[in-house]
Amino acid sequence: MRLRDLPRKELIAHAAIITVPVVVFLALCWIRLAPSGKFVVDVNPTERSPYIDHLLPLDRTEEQDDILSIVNDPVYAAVHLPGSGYTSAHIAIEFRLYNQSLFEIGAITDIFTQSAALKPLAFTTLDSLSWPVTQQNKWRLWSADTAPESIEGFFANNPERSSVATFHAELPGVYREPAYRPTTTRIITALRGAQRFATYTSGGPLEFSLVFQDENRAAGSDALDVRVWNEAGEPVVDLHIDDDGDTTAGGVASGLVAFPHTTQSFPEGVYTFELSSTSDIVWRAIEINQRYATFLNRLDLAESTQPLSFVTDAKSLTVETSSASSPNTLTISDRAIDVSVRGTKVYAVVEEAGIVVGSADPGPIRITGDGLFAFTRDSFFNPYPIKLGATTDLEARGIQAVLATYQPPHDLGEGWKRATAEIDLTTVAVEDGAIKLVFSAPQIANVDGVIDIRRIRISFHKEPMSFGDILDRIGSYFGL
Amino acid sequence: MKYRLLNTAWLTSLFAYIGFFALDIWKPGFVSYVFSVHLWLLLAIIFGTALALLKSE
Repeated sequence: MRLRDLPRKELIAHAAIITVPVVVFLALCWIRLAPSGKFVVDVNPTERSPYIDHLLPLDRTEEQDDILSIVNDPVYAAVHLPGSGYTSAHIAIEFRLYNQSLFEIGAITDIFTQSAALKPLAFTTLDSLSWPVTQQNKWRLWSADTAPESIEGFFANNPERSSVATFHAELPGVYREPAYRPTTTRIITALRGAQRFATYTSGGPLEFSLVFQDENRAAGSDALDVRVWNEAGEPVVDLHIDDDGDTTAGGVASGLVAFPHTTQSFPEGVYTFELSSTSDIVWRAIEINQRYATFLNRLDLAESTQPLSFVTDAKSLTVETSSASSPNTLTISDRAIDVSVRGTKVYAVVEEAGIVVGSADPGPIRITGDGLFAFTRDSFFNPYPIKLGATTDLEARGIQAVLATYQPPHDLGEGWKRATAEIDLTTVAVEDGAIKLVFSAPQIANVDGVIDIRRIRISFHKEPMSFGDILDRIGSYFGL
Repeated sequence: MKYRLLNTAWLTSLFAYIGFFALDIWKPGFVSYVFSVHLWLLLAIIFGTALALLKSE
């Protein structure tokens, strides 16, 4: 029977049947285009989703029932954007913490360095802090004494910077030491590879001398760079030193190279030296015409005949030895830490308050921590406010106040909490239409912590669309 | 008439399944964000079965 021979009612019925998928298709286009400017993805992290991939690596997560548990750090998840034009993502997560104080989320901003701008979701150290708190806009200030009337008023009284901790916040003002007297500091402990240390000047040129050696253990160039940054984060010195000419892995060490340099006159302030090099470079001596040379978060010692002696205000340390000639014991504040197993990181907590003394026999050892290091008490200074971390002990660090941009999560009962974070999609790295979320839980494996997640809700936002925009987008979406 | 309508429904749901399935592979989540694309397959099986039964009668 021909189409035109069909009864009118039947023709309409056929048309209606065929129209159904067409209408569904148009409705799906409408949902995907999100003309309102908002597209919401709401998933249980144990389920498959076209927009949020499973959290990886798998050995850092566990699944039970409808709950995904993070047991190691960090964990990543690729999030596929539902289209182009989205400028921000509002992330809400329902979770509960076991034995873990800090939980943060962010998105990778640089795929090469894998750096991410993290936002706090929960920090039990602050949630359980009983100190009086002053809140102004997004800022919150906890003070061990009485609550200040205003945050500006608190800082107008010039509190000691090293007694104020920050959490996702920057302290106003800069470090100054009116009674500062410069002296010459000479470090003769052999250091391996890249180094960062801070010094202070009351004004004038910085005179420094570097003595180094290229051990040529690994193939490739061992050129190095010496940079100095001012307290505004601007480079004020940028020097390049070429490789010694031996790019083989023959292990033939170069002679000692001395590199003296005098900068132009600098204004008073804190300056950070960055010695950028491969691990083939060993710094045999560092001399500077200032009193302080305080290393930031890390000491990386090379083979040496000199026993190690240092001071630190770090309270959470990770120690690693790698060579047969490495020391077997590191002593911190009269407590011996066994580091005899090579290639294994040993985690240690310093319970004593303030600056403590450490020592070890000669030999290569790497010490990283949540604080600063120096080789003598006289060359140690701390111009930085303490950045609160997962294991920071407020009392041990002598912290009297905390400045933060942090809002505690909402309590949902039975230990579950709900926290939100905003991610600027214009500043994050997008690869194949996807961004990479980072779930950060510092020290979670060391403290046997667990973070359960039962729900992830992401609302993507963009400018609402006009009818003309919709037609343009439909065309471009299907490549028309 | 019933046979022709069932035939149209079966063909429509079958081609819709193929089309939406391909669309969801091309643009992940386009369909599966809202409903399972296999619903179209279920409809195709239902209409196809009904069509076969009707034809055998």
